Amino acid sequence: MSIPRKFEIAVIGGGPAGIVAALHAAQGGRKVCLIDRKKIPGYPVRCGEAIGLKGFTQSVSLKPGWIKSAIKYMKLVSPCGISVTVPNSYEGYVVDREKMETDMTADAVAAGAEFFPGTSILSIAQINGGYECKGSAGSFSAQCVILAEGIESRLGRSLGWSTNLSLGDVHSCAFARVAHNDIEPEACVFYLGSSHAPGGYVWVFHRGGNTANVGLGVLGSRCKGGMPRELLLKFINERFPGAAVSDLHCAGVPMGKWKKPLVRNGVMLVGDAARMMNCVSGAGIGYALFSGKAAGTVAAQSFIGGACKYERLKTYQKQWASFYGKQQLRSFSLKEVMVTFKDDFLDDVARSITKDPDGKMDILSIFIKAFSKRPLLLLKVIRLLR
Amino acid sequence: MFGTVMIEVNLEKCDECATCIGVCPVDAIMLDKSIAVDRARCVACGNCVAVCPVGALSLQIASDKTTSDAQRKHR
Repeated sequence: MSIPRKFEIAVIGGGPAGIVAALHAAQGGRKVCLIDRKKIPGYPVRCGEAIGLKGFTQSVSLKPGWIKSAIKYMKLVSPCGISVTVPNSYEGYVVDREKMETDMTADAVAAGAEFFPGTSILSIAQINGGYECKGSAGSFSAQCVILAEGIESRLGRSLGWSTNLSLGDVHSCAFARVAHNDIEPEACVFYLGSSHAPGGYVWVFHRGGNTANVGLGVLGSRCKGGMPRELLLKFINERFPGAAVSDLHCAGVPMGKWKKPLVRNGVMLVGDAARMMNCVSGAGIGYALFSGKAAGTVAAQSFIGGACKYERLKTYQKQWASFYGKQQLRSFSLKEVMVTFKDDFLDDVARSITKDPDGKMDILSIFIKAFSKRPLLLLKVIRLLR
Repeated sequence: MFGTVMIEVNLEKCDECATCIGVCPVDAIMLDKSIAVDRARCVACGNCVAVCPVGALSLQIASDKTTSDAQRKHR
């Protein structure tokens, strides 16, 4: 048996949440390791790569080299093809996540974190004075562990978190980079409708020049094996015929409520592993960066005289709950209602909006319009949001 | 004749996205070098098969003989 490598804080998972957690834990002066199964940070990208300005400014200073497109507006396309443009609805970017994560990992290493790429952790156990994380390439011990495992969130489960997702709380996704002259510049376009993506939607996010990230998510409970990939190729073929398609990958996106408690003894959950995802927009990078920064900072501050005071770690949950926690729960409630929308209802809403071109065109007005056609639904939403 | 239902993984199709792990109710799936299903834990609920974005997982009905052969091979 090999002797575990000893650290004060171990971060498992090197996506945005884990990298930022390791960076801040190391900046706080602790002995930190960042362990990732993947060999290269951020590769392959399993994401639409769109992030709002607010999501960045809270947590990370944006580097100009990461930006592929500055997004100016959103557009929604109803199932029968009526498009509704929402001007000034979005201030954000489509970023090169591989570059972003490579740079942030370099920052974490420069701050003193030790990086272990290509290293899987398969089990975690409480030992005297902390935790032992075991993998096929050796084991690591630490007083405090930050779990940033993403969708699988397996180690958290073995410590008592019920992170397994029901089929109604997951989107099965496929996406690709697409080059075609019909790509709308500086826009995030969403296509709704059960023929595109049952219980979900297709997204087309401009990624500079004539390229875009095109992807879709199907609600798990309406999915059949292989459906997301097939629907994606069908959509690209119909909407962007003859397009150059590359980097086809897939992913699962958690669409449940964030997992309370975020801290158990010396272990913290962050990002997708904590099911921190906006269940309406599918946005998770901003949440991941925020939770990683908060968890890493709090973890470092919880060490007193070389010992981690577990009680102090709970500050992290308070920070998350007061900043994004309620917003995430609201998005979950809205998703529960939105998955009940039928195609003809969505078309009706789109029609009534385009008939009133002078009407207000923000997301709230669209929602009000949608619900004014179904007052009972509005009541349901209000009840859910309380 | 009785058979056993088990999950088969097509590693050529698999993109290692781990969505199957997220929806497994009994923690029977692991991703180390590649996706592997622990047949002793698997309850053949089919969640992983349904959500796999690329259709790399399937339920297979194996006769008792085939199952024991497969398990022997697995060991």
